Amino acid sequence: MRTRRVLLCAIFIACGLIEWRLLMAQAAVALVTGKQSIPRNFNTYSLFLVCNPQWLDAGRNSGLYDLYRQFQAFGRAIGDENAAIWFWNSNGYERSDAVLAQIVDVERSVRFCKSWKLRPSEGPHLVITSIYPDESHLAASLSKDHAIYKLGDMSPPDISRLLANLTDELVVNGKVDSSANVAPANADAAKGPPTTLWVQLLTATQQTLNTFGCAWSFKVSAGPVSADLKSCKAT
Amino acid sequence: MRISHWHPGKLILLWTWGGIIAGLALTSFLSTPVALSPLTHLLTLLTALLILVGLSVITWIWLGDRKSE
Repeated sequence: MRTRRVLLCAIFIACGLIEWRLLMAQAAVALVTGKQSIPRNFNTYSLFLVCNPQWLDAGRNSGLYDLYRQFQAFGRAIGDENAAIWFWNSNGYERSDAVLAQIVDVERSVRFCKSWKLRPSEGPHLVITSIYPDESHLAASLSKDHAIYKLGDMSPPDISRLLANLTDELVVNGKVDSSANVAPANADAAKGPPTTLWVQLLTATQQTLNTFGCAWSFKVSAGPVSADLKSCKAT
Repeated sequence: MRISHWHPGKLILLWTWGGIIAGLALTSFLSTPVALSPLTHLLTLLTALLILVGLSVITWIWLGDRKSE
């Protein structure tokens, strides 16, 4: 009988420890509502800042919801030592995605955007810093090796790829290599929007004409004088 | 004014100026990447093509009229 009681106590304690551990793991995804301060004692802080008014339009709810779901997955994947933070006005995000745009704590995000000189039109932004983002001293809250990603012009697959890369770096290295990750994102942005068929046809026409234009040469041979004219400079 | 009464010199002038403008349009089309300004490139290419096609049509009609005489 006594052995059974001891055994039951041990099982309850174990369950409690497991539940506490799960809670700590979920704490890596920090959803800050209302006046909650950002939790401390993490190695890195990944903040999603929604300062762009275009993303607050009711028509963008599904896009915001998709971004939030990606953020959730990212927060779970980066481990307990790293925090992923999103600012809400209320807990309504748990119940419905129909009002997401209304309950994003934009005012709080804008304070970050202003202090860190982030252009709202380029957002939403993902900022990763290893220093605790103290809201009373935001200007000093960006570490030397911080990274800023502008998600406004990125398609959902690009955002997924970026988050996957960042997850690798945070989990393996404990920090992000901002130069390595900015280049792919900027390269995608530098490529511009996907080209339509008529633009591709124009490009092909241009290449064909250029190739044709370089294909001919003109040679003149008149006794001692000879000239060789080529349409393009030899490379 | 009927084309059959045009002087060959006028046709040469038309081809010269038309050729210059078409050449400039084509040079503009070929000199920069299409992705920078696709619409501009489309317009320059169409301008060059239209000039050349228009001049060809005029010459065709002129030659046809002359042959029928």
